[in-house]
Amino acid sequence: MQKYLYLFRGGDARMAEMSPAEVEAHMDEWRAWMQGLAEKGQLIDGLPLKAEGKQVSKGGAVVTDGPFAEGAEIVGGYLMVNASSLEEATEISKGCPILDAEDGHIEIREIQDM
Amino acid sequence: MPSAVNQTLDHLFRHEYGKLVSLFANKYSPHLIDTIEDAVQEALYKAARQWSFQPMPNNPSAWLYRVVNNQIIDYLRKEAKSVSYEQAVTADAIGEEESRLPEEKVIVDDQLRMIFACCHPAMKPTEQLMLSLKLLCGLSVKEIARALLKQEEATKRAITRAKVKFREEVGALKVPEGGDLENRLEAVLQVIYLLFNEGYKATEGNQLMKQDLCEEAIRLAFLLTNERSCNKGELKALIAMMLFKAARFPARTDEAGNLLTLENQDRSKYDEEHIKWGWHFLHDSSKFEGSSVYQLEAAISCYYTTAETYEKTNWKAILSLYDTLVKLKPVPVVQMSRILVLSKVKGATAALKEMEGLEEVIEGNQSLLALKADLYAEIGNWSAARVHLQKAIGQALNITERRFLEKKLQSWIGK
Repeated sequence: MQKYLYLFRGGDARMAEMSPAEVEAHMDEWRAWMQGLAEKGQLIDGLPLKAEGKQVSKGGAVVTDGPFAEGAEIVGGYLMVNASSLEEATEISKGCPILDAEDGHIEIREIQDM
Repeated sequence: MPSAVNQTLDHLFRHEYGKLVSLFANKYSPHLIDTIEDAVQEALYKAARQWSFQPMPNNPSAWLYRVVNNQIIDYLRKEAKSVSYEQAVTADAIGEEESRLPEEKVIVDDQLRMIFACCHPAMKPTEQLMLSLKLLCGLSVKEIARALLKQEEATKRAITRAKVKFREEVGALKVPEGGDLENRLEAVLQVIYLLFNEGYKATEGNQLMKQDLCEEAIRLAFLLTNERSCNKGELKALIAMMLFKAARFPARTDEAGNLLTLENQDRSKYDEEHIKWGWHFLHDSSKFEGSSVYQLEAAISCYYTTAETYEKTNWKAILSLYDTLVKLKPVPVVQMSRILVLSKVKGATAALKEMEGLEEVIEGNQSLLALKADLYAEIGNWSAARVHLQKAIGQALNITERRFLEKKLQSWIGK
């Protein structure tokens, strides 16, 4: 079994337009999806990320505010899952509600074994 | 949508929206309504992101309250910097305050004051209705338009207009007193009545959405019972009427989602709990002096809902209630309902005769034409019946009703 990292981007613009009931329904979809992953033993960990952040470079001499990217390019959250292959990790990700949003997408990376 | 999850969180966000908007409009000012709404929306959005990944906190309301409060304070501080010294002081004072969720009594009282603010006389009844749905019930403009079968753009404009009045004319949020209370309470009850009827109307559109409107109307009415000066006969009668009608919801549609008229409904599906409480409130309302329009309507719905079968409905009792009601409230829908009941008691010929006077006033009305067609059918005048039914179909505004009438016309062909 390998570990895979999902990086979530986008979907925010759609959510900002939603009514309270729709936001709740959307959250329910996420919760149900995550619960499904947990029940199958696929879920390791995951959390949303705030929009605020810092960028540090040049040996720590340069510190700037925030992620450089805008909107749909900002990583909005991450998830770690167990899967037997990159293909399986890809299949698992297809149930994610973020894909309902036009600009929502998931980057999948295998975590290197040490 | 996963139903199990959804049931436990039933409308949490929508009701939190209404609660939080009311709390902060009271805490700060109705002038800040747009900022408050934005902050609440943003907090729900943050909550959804977080609670998608993690279990909800034990007290989600308290969490949301704190987030909204911080956001508004941030906003006020920024504003204060760019505006005046005086406001900066206020904002600092605000920052000192606790951001703990107030106790239940305050939450109820704040929502009560908000109901009265949304029904401010500066606004038209439809504006009052839409604003209540927006601010108290947490529906979006789109959902309001869909529920009321209105254009989204027009709904948006009406709400914008209402909000301008809300900001500029409402002033401090309070439950009016003395003579003011009487007038304003009348407007509030009227809005709840309209809200319920919008949901109850047999029209196209998402039936669940419509049922939600009815539930919201009942919820707002129950909120009012917390205020002693409001908890009188009219309110109780209005609640009774809504409960008797809402009891029929489970039986109103068939499996395919088609609307069923009263005579075709399976009465065993009527909600007993609603009926039980309907009786309770109707009985309670009679302890107050005078008979209000709401009381008459509650009694009528009671007879309809509690009859063992459609045929066994106590038409005589209903007719005598309508005879009184039509004098107090001479509007087409009451007049026509009365004629329908009259036909059950005195026969179709008598009802057709009674209708002649009415036609001059509400000519070309679809319900009137359909009723007339039914009455002609009853006395076996099929050609007249078909002519009127065809006219009614021509007037039908929505698909469900047109489909219903066309089906009937088909069954009348060849008779």
